[in-house]
Amino acid sequence: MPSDTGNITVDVLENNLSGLVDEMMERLFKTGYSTIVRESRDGSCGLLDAKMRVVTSPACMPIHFGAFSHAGKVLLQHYSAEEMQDGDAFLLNHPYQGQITHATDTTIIRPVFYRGELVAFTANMEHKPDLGGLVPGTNSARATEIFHEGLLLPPVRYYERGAENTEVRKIIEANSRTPELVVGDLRGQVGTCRVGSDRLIQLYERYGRTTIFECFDTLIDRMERRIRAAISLWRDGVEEATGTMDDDGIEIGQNRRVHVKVNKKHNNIEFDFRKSGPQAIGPINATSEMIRNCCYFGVISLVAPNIRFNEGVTRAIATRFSRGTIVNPIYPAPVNAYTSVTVLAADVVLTALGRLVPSKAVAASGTAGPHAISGLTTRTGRTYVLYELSLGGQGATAAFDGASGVHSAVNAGTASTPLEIIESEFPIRMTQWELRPDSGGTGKFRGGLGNIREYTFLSAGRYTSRRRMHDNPPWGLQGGGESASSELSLDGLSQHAKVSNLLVPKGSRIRELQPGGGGFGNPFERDPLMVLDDYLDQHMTIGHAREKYGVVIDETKGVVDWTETNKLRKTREVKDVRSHRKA
Amino acid sequence: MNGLRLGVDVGGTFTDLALYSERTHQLKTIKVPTTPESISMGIGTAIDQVIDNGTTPEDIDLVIHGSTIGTNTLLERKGSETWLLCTKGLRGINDTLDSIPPQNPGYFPYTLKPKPLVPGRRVVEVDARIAFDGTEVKSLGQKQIDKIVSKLHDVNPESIAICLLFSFMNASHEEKLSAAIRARIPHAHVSLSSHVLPQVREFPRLITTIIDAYIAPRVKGYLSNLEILLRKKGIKAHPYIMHSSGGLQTLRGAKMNAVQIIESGPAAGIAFSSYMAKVLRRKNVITYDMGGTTAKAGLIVDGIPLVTSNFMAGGWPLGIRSVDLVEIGSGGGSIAWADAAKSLKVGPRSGGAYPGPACYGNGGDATVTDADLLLGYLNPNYFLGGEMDLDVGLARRAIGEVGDKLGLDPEETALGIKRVVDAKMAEAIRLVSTFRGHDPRDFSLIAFGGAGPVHGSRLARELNLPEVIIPTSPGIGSAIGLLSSDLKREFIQSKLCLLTDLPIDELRQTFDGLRERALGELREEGFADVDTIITYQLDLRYSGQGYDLTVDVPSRVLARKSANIEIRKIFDDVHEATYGHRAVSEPVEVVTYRLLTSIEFTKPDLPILVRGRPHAQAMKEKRQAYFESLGFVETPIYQRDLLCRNQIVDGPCIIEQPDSTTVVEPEQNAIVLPSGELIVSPDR
Repeated sequence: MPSDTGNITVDVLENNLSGLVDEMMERLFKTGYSTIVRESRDGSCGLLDAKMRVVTSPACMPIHFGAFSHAGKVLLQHYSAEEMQDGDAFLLNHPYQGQITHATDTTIIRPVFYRGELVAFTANMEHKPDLGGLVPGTNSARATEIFHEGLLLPPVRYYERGAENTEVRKIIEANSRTPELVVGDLRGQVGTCRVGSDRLIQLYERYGRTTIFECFDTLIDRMERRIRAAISLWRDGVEEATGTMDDDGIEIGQNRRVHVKVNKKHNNIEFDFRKSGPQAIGPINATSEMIRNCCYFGVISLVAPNIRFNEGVTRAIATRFSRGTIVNPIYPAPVNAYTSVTVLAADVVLTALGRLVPSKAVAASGTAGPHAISGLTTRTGRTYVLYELSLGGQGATAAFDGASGVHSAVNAGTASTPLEIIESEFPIRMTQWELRPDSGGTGKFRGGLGNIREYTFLSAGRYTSRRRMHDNPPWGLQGGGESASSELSLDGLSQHAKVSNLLVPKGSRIRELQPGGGGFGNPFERDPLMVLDDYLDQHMTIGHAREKYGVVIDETKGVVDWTETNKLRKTREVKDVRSHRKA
Repeated sequence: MNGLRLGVDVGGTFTDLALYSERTHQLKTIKVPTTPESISMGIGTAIDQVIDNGTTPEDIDLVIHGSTIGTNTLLERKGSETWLLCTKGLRGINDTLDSIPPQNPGYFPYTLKPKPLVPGRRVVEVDARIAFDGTEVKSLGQKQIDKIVSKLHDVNPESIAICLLFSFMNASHEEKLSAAIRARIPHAHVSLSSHVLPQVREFPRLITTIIDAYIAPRVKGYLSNLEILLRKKGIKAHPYIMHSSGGLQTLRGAKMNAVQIIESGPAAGIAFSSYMAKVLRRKNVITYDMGGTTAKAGLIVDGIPLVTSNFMAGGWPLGIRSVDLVEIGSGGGSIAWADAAKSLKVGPRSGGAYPGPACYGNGGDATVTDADLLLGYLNPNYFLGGEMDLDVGLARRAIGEVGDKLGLDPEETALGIKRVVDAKMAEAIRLVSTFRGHDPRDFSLIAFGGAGPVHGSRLARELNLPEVIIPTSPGIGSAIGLLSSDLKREFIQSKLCLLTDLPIDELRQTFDGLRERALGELREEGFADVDTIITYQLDLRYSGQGYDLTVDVPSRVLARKSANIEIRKIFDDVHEATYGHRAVSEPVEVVTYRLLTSIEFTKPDLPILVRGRPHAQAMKEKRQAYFESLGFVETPIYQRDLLCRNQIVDGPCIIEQPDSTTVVEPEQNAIVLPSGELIVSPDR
């Protein structure tokens, strides 16, 4: 009878550990103070073993995957395990020291002790509304070095034996425009790490130290095997893809490219980014760990999109970078708009992988990036910062239209701020929020639609953003068209994508047009009834239907004019459809 | 009053009726197949059967109904063609379906979203505006109202949802539109967001209002048919329907707010557990119902079933209060498989009723039921009391195929399946317990549904639960649940204020106002003030947080001068238990006042189906069954109805009855209560 049931114990524990981290996540947001945390859910949690390997992290925030491990290793350089005590919690946010996204994503790591032994760490990473820096919301389009991007913290002991280190707190409070929100959210980070630790200790008590340690090893080994087994089924080969980034707002018109060469052989895969463009003066760089996370994301998407991340994924995937590039900048280059590169890198990775595994190809997706709106609230006289993420459209595939109203896939777990929360807490009136007609890339399956969001300022305020895809919208595949470009305007006057502290007078309107996703396949092959649906639901104009899809709609009856449509589709070739070609 | 009460539970497969006489303490139950084409037909047949001897329909004082009509209308997309009126410029709230969790969780690059219930072509924008504080920014003139109503009149809609920004602060625009529509298009149903869900955050309010409008015409039709049927059968009593959160609602109330009864059926199951808990004097109970395709876990704390305000129905986040259930795709029919990395997975795919598990002999795949059979827990000759033979050979072959991919023999694989499933269920139970700050070790498990008692004992061990309660008949729970529910209502008032700034008199006056409203409503339905039990609650948060926590405020605390300080302390404690920290220096805000009323009905005595004396053949045989600490061992098999009261049987053993099988693990024992339930607990 069963002699070796060890593998099953691991399956059991895997469920327990996932549940533990999900529980931390849910509580992190529910106990939050700032809207970026409690409404937009911009954060994630992870469980690390004593060697700082990620044991499990949920699927919703791929951009944080490997970052936990790096941050943890840096922590161990500053504090030895012997120096740590039960109830301690360490705080850090330094993008270069910890390979953390950007300084506003504060990271808490809490050691877990079982019978006096340090056995694991619980951790979370969560966006803060403001940590000083050039502009409200910290993340400035004008930053040219990391020192412009807010308070930098190396690993510091923020909680000691369960008690807050008030000296650290005072430094943070003195460096934030919204100290109450930041400190409240940090307390939530430490609290949820404690909740995770308590539950992990119960598992240790239950299964014993050895079983849990072995389980961590097995989970990681098993993940590596799983990823490699899937990769080995793909054809061997080398594929490349390139995407172009808008300028950094400082060297106007200077577009940079992100390039990847994927080399797949047997059960090995390597992503080579060495031919990517040089690092920017402005903040659109990202540390290499962020780009690695995009590779992990891309491979997992193709292998099994519902699995969770652990260290095993990183073992199966190799990466190469050159120093001084936009994907591996040299300290102290600014990185606050790291999402500009990572969102593009994720799509470049998916495009290259789609050439290797054509059944999984997906066109590029569009999101314009976050903004910060700030000013003084009329009610309390305090500074407010509304830091929001933007929605866009997903790329289409060979079988589906891209979804509309989604966040970028590398931070898919985030949500937008409810309009009623914005109007209740900030002096703003939301005067438009609609899907943007005609914005999805054309195709047999069209890209997801972008959207229009308009903010009317009820008192004077300031607006900062590091938007993208104004000049280089997401591309289509297989004859599919690119999406509409991002646009930004103040009272109808068009603005550059990167603006810093733009003064918005009382009564003025900021209007953002968000991009959609790229299309897939020849738009003249799209089912005319799907075109009609888009028209009837105000997702497409009648002219767009005729011009781009060759579908003639009878406006008065609201039906397809089949005779005219057939005539048009026969006589006209597909025009204005630029597909993304190999570099 | 004649003291006759009728419970009518209509499920997907069976309709169960329970008739209870307060005078004779007799309980009669009937099970008939549900007739989906005409639901009332099944009920009619059952009523005829249950009211045959001695009783007359006029003697029935109370009819309580539990139904899945709401949830089925939504899940099967059989609702009305619904139109939406929304604030001008903001149709994106409906169109983007932002905040909808992806249907395919994880980092899939292509998210699939549900098709909107109201497509863009059926959205009409209203050019009027209310600000966050309820003041009118842009008025709604008669001219515009006429124009909108004319447009709607032309398309002749069956149902209309109205959801305008900040209507929960000022409902006047929604109400004006509604009145005009009712006057001009009287047959159309209208749902107002200010009535359906008067709360901040437009997206859940919009979705909940749309779903209310979407299902309301069907629900209304169904309930009207039910009323007609009851009248035809000569039943004159006031019918009630089980509310999603476990209380009872009048049919009239349900017709006005259909979305509130969407979880009516499952709530009846929770009511059953709640009643069992009361009868057996258990304060903290985990309810565990495992059927063919899913398992549901819920929680009763201090005698009160937990309810949630964020219920997911078919992927749609609903903002209604509902019994707090976690439902997972692991039931007896869930299919086991091996993935590429040679790890064993179970579900979420299910063999359903057909082809069902491999052992049914219809060509099905390896399932949890097959594993249970192979491990010796199920009796191949006594499934459903012997009505169906199970084929062990087919089960072994199907499980062996999965095992081949894992390098395990069929028995090892079966054990693996059971352990994976148990782990998932343990996780589901943790989601409703530890996840909400409760330690499962303080809870009894009530296991019901066909497969619940098979896995309950093992789960109890996994979670360190002190005991498992197996009801006498796990199958008819919900109908009994209906008869054992109390008439519960909730009355809410939102009024934001810092706790320290709140004069104690105002706090008391607000609750007094709610109490007057509540008692008035209940008097109209014929209930006396003295019979009404009242509970006070406050939703509180630290100033600056976006979500609040509901805490009970005992009336003795309200009576004291130091009430504010005591409430503060209660909140700090609850917050720390839930989130791992307290913020003693931060001010606390009062967000919402809640007043709960409850009128308790006499509970039916459950039939005592237990022998007074031991029966020689109670242990009918022995067979090989697997237990983790022992391997396969000769295990005694008992026939449940031959066990006598207070009899103790030691584990490992298996207790069989027609509708379920109870597995007792080694180092556990089962005792038969005088009332017939089994209690499985660890040996001491």
